[in-house]
Amino acid sequence: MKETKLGDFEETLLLIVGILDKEAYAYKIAEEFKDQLERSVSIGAVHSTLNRLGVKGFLTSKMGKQIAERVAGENAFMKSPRKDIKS
Amino acid sequence: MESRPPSLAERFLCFFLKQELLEEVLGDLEEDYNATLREHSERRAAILYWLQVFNYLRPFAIKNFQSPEIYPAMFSHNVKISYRTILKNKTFSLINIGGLALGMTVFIFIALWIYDEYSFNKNHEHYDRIVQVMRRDISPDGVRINSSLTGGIAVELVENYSNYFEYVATTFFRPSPGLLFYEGEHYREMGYYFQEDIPHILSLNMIQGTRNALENPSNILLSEHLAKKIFKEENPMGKTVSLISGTDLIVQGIYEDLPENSTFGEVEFIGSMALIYNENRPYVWNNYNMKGYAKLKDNVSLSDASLAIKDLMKPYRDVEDNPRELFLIPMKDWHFYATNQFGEQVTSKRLQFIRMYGLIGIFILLIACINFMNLNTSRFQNRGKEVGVRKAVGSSRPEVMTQFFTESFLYAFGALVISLVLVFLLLPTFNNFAAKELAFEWGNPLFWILNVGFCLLVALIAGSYPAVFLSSFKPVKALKGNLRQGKANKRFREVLVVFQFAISIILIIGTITVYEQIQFAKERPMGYQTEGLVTMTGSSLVSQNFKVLRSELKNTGSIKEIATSNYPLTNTLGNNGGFRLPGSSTEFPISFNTIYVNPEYGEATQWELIAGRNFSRDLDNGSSNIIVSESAVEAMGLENPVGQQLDAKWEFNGHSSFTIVGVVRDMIKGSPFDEPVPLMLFASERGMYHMFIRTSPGVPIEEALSDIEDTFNKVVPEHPFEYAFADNQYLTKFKAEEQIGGLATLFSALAILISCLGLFGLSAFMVTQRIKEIGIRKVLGASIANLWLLLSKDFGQLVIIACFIALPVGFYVMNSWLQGYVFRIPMYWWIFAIGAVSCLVVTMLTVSYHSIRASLANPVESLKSE
Repeated sequence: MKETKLGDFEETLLLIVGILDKEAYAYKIAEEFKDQLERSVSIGAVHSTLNRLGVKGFLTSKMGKQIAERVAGENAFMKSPRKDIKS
Repeated sequence: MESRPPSLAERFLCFFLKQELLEEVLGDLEEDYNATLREHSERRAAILYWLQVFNYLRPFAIKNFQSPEIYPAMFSHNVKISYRTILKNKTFSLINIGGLALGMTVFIFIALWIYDEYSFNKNHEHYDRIVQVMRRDISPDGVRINSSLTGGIAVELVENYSNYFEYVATTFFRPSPGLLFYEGEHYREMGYYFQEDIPHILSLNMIQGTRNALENPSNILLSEHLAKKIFKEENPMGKTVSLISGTDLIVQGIYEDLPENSTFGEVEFIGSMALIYNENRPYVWNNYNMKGYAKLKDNVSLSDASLAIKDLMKPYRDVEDNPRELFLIPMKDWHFYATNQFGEQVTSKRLQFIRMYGLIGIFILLIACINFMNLNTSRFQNRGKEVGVRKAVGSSRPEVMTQFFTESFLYAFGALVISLVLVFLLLPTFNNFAAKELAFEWGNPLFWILNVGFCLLVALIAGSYPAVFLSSFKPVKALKGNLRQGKANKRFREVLVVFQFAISIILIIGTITVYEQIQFAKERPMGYQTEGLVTMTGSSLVSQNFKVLRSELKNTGSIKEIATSNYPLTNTLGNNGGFRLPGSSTEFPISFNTIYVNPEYGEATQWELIAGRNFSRDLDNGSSNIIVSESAVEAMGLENPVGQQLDAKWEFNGHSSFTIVGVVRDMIKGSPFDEPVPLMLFASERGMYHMFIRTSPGVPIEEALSDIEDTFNKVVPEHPFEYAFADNQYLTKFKAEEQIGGLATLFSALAILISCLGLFGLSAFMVTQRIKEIGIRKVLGASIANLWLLLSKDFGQLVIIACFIALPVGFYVMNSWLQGYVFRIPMYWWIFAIGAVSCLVVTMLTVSYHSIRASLANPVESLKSE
């Protein structure tokens, strides 16, 4: 199998997902990214990277329960199976 | 009320986003929206929302996203199949490629022409900093924009406005060709006398010498071309050429030729203005005989400089009303500069032509593309099986479309190659015709990129409809062989044909109108006889020997009369106002074309006297007697013009009050499409540099010319024998119009040719489709005429519909073109009739070829198979 590579941005996101834990979904991650790095990133970019990380097997996702302040339905939480993170 | 994210953005998101992601993303984005809203305005939040939506346009999130797969094998297969299809039906392919090639050729020519027009003057290094100084005369009648300046303006600009202008130089308002002599040879070339700084302004590329050479008035700069012409292989630097006045000038610089498409492209030599004026910068305020050019300093903006010099003339004018303001126009505007009567900048005629031709070019290309579409879709039954098989073995629709696009690209490429060859071959003819020096930039990579892009574009336009239509077939139906073209498709094709013919008819109408208009103006009585009139340029030498010359010429017997004037016969130079009736304080509000003529002018030009008498040598030479034209009488409102006294503000011919002794018919000296300019003629014999020689009736022109030459050689051997024919000079007035007429003819002929090519192909296919029907009809007793009508009437109907569209549009366009001329034809109904009928006839002839052939065929041939 081809060696899996992890880019800068991917790694950062993975760390943020780790920090946010249960709260890790695209919008929150983007916000956290901005807070931590003082660089804004679009939700779409975060989402597509999360997707890629999922394909590479670093992340799995599941639908969480509805949060009160959110009007639209359920949210997908990202959860990192920590064992997969390579240093 | 709580604000919601823009609903359009949400809808757009729903449109492209994968279903499974939708809910989650909508939620995320809305949260973001609300977060932004807490800190920023609603507008900003909405904009950010849109940005976020656009950021979801990524492969992973888009519905049915397929990454483009490229199969080289498929590509070569497509090319191979297309190539075979092209070869299979040679006539059809030829019509297709030929039509496209013609359309592309026209388009390339027009594109080259427009490119040339837009690159006017761009050769100058300081293109963006070079300006011309213009004058705005404001009076109660309106605003007039003029480019003539006084010498004093230039002095002011140099002395007091040096923080705006780096260099300022003026030249004479009306440059005329000058004669240069070198070693006994003479050269008549266009030359300008400029102030010394002009080489810096125009950034002349000096091959030899420096840009400062004109600081010495006895120096002269030559263009590379002229230097080669005069000095051949010799080194021209330091050589002496002389002017006709006998002044010797030293060649102190050779500059690289300026390109044809620049304002100073015709200038072959540049002399110093100080030579003519005896001072470099004449401080004059009452003679508007110069044009001024300048180069702005690097950090100065055009509008600032323009505003700064606005009131420069104020202190130097006695009258306070009717102010004259100065302003600048940048070099990029010189070529297309035009103003209306309020002094506002408007679209110039030249720009209108460019747009019109651009439009025609696009239309002709469209006609060619439409042909391609029609021809290809009309063959749907032949291609149906192919599409069916492809789809049956698993091609998707985009793949079938790729096949058809490949095919149209091959056609377009073939057409491009042919049209490039055509353009290459026809370029000299076209240049000759359009009076241009267009060049093909073979070495320029941009040229090739543009060509390939152009080819792709044509392939895309022309191939789009066939690809969409042909790839839509259901495989089962296609293979069974019962394909029907839907009503909508048939209608669409008919619309395309109507469009083609409507354009062709408009072009025919345009062509005829332009020709009628030119013919009309040509037949207009011009008030003098140009036939048998030879014109020559005079000199001080000729003036001194004029009496001898005249009597010698008349003695030859082939010359009836010789006259002189200070201006040519076929232009309206010399305009002056300031005339009034004696005792009246108000001047006539018009300016007259004031020219000095010798007493024999009337004899030589054979003008038509309608009242009073001609000038006579004994009575009128240098006198205060004048002759005026019909329109001048009318403009002054005189009842009995002969004997009428006139006073003038300025002195003419040494007098300031005059008596009218004769009235002549209007002479068309200016544009033959305009109102005649009111004329006022003074009898004089001084400073007349234009000669008019009337040959005796019945004497062949060659004989007369050789007599003139002999006489000139005898009397003034130093004067170069150069002549022109007045009738030819008169005809040059129609040049612009004839150019339009010629191009219009060419374009409409091509438009019709291309349309007919398409129709020819279409009718061929229609006939083959109905071949069995024709057979049966014939067996049942239909006559050939019946069948012909049956097959042709569909196309006839289309052309008639096209007429109904084309006639009003043509009327509107040509009517607005004619409005630009004072002297114009009405819109004749028969022009429209000819346009419509000729188009109908050509169509019917084209279609008839196939329909008559089918009608004549033996029905057994078509019915025996199956």
